[in-house]
Amino acid sequence: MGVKVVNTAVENQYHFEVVRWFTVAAIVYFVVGTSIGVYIASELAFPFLNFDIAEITFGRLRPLHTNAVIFAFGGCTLMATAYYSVQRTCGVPLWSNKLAWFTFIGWNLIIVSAVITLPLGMTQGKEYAELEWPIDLLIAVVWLAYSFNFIMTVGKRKTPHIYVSNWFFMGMMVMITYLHVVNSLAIPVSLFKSYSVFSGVQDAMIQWWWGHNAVGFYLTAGFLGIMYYFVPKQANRPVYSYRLSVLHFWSLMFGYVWLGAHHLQYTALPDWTGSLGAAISMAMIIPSWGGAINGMMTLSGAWDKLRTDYILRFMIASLAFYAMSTFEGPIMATKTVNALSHYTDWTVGHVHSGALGWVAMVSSGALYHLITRLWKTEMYSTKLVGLHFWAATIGTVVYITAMWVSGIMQGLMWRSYDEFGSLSYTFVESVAAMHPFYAMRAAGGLIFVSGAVIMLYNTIMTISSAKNRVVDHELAHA
Amino acid sequence: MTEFWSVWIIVLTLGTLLICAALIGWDVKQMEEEIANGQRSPDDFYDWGEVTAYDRPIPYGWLYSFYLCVFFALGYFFFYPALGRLPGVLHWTSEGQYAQESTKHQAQYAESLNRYAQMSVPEIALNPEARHIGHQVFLLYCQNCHQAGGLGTLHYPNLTDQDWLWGGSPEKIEETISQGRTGVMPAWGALLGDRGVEEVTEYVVALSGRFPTDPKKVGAGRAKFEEYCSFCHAMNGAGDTMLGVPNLTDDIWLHIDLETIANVSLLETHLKRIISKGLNNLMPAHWEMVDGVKIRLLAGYVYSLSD
Repeated sequence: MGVKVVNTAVENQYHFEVVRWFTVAAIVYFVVGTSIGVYIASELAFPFLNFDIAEITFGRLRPLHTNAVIFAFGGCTLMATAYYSVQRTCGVPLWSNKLAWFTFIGWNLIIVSAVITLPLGMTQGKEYAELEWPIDLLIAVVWLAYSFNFIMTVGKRKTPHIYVSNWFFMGMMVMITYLHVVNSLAIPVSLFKSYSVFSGVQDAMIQWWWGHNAVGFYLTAGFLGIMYYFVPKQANRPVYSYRLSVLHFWSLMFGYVWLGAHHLQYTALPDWTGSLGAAISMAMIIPSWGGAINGMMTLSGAWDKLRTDYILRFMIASLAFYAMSTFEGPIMATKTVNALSHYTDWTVGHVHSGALGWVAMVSSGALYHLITRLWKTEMYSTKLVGLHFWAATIGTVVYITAMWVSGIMQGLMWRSYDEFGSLSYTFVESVAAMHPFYAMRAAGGLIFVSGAVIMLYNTIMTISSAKNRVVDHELAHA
Repeated sequence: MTEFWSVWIIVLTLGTLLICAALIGWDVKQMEEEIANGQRSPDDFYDWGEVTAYDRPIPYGWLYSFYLCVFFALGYFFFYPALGRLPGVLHWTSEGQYAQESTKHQAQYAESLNRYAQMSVPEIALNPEARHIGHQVFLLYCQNCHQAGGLGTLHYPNLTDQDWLWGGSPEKIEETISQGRTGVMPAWGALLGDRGVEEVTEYVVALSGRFPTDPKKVGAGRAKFEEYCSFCHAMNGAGDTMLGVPNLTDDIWLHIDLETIANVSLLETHLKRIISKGLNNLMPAHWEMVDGVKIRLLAGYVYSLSD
C-alpha cells in the first residue's frame, strides 16, 4: 500500500495531519485510561490485586486513572476536535501549524510525566491537579499555546459570525487557564515536591473551584463545543436554534463558576458559601438542558437516521446522559441530599454517568466522524461501531447502577440508629456490604473497556486499509 | 466577615443573577419584536458553509423554566444565609441544625436508656441487655484500637486480662474511658548515653524474669534504675497505677510485639529504643463524643471482659 498524495482543495487548505495524530492518540489513551480504571476498580473489590507493590496500589493508580481519562483521553480529543472544527468553521487553516505540533509533543510529554511520577507517589494531593509543579508549568505553557493558536485562528476567520462550538472552546480555554494557574500555585521545595500556597478550608474551596470547573469548563463546555460541531455535521442538519445556543452559553459561562462549594457541604466551609453553591447548582439545570435540547432537536426531521447511523447514536445517547447527569448533579448539590451522598459511591456513580455517558460517548461519536473525514473512508466495520455502542451503553448503565445502590446503601447505613440511639453499623460493616457492588462496578467498567478496545481495533483496521493515504501539504500560498 | 466583603458578595451574586436574567429577557424581547416586524422567520438560518443553524425562537418551556431557576436561587438567598452577612429569613445555620438534631436525638433515646441510668458498672456487667448496648458502643468507638473482643494489640492494651495501667476497678475504668489517658515516658538517651541505656536495659530484662545477654551490666543498670527510673517505676519496678506506669516485673509488654521476639537480644533492641527515645501513648477522652449514660454502659461492658 503506497502513499498516494492527493491534492484536494480541502486538504491543501487546512492543517489536518496534527489532527490525525491527536485522533489516534485519543483512542489509544481511551483504552489505556479506562483499563487503569478497571484495574483499580478490581483492586477495590479484590484487594489482593495490590500485591503489596507500592507503585500499583490503588492510592497510586487512582490519580493516574483520572489524569489519563481526563487529560490524556479528554485532552487529545479536545485538541483533535478543536483544531479540526475551528479550521472548518472559520474557513481558514490554523494560525500556526508548528504551534499545534508543539502542543502535540508537549501534551504527550505531560502524559508520560504523569505515568512516571504518579505511581512513584509524587503528588500535590489535589484532585485532578495531582501532578507536581514542573508538570503544572508545562501544562500551563502547552494549554496557552493551544488556546492562543485557536483564538488567533478564530481572529482571522473568513466567516462574519463565530460559530457556537468555537465560543464553547474559547470559554473553556480562558477559564481553564485561570483555574489551573490559581489552583496550582505552590512553593517548590525540591524538583518533585511542593506545598500549595493555600491551606485549610480556603485551600479546599480553591481546590473545588478548580475541581468543579474542570468538570464545568473542560468536560462540559469543551465537549459541548464538540457536540455543536459534530452533531449537525453527522446528522447533516442545521443546529436547532442559534439563539438558544447563545443564551445557554452565556448562562453556563456566568453560572458554572459558582458551583464548587457544593463539594464542601456540611464541612468547615461557611454556610453562606455552601448556599451559593447549592442554589446556583440548581439554577444550572436549565442552562445545561439548553445544550441537550439544542443537540437532540437538531435531529428534528431526521430521527430515522438513528436506525442506521451508529455514530449519531453515540452522540444522541451522550446527550441523554448529559441531561440526566446535569439534573442529578444539582440535586446532589443541595445540602439535604448532599448530607446523604457526600463521601459515598453515589458521587462516583454521578461522575461516571457524566464521564462515560456524556464525555466518552460524545467523544467516541466525534472521533469516529473524524476518522471517516480525515482518512476519507467509511469505518472498517459498521457492525463493530454498533457493538461498541452497546458495550458503552451497557457498561455505563451497569457501572452507575452498581454505584447508585452502593452509594445510597452507604449513606443509609452510616446514618442508621438502633433503638438505643447508637449507630447501627460500624464503618467496617458498611465496607463489607459494598463488596458485591464493587465487583459489579468492575464488571461494568470491563464491558465499557471492551468497547474502547473494539474502537481501537476498528480504527487501526480503518486507517491501515484506507485507500488513499493523504499527506498534509504546506499551504499552497504560504 | 467584614462589611466590605459582605457587600462584595451581595453585589456580585445578585448582580450576576439579575444581569443574566435581564440579558436573556432583553434578547428574547428583541427576537419577539423582530418576528412581529417580519424581520425574522423560524426558517431563517445562519450559514457557516460547514454548518448551519436555524434561528428558531427560544423554546418557551425552556425560557420559563430558566426564569424559575433564577427565581429559585433568589428565593434560596432570601431564606438561607448566602448573601454575605445576611442570615436569611429563616436564620438557619448548620451549627443550629446540628444542635437541634442532637437535642432531638438525645430526647428520643433518653427514654430507652433511662432504666440503665441508675445502674452501677458492675450491675451493667451482669445485665445482658445493658452489656449489649455497651458492646455496640465498643464496636463503634473502641474496636479500631482495642481490636475485636478487646484483646488489644501492639500499643493498644488488652482489656480482657487483669493487667491494668490505670487500675481495673469499675470506677477507674469509667474514668479512663471518660477522661482519656496520656502515657508519657521521657527520652533517656541523652542523659544516660549509649552505655547507660544498655545497662538499664539489661537490668529491666532481669526484672522481667528473663536472662540478659550481658549480665555484667545488670549491676550498673540497677544503680541507674534506682537513681532515675524508680521515681515512676518504683524501686522494685512494680509501677504505679495512679500514674499509669507499667509494672516491669511481669512479662506483659504493651509496646513490644512478643511474637516478633525470637530471642532476648531482640527484646533488648526494642527496650533500648524505648528507654532512649521515650513514649507518648494516647487514649482519647470520650466524654465529648459519647453520652454520659453510654460511657457507663461502655465501662460495664469493658469491665465484663476482664471478669
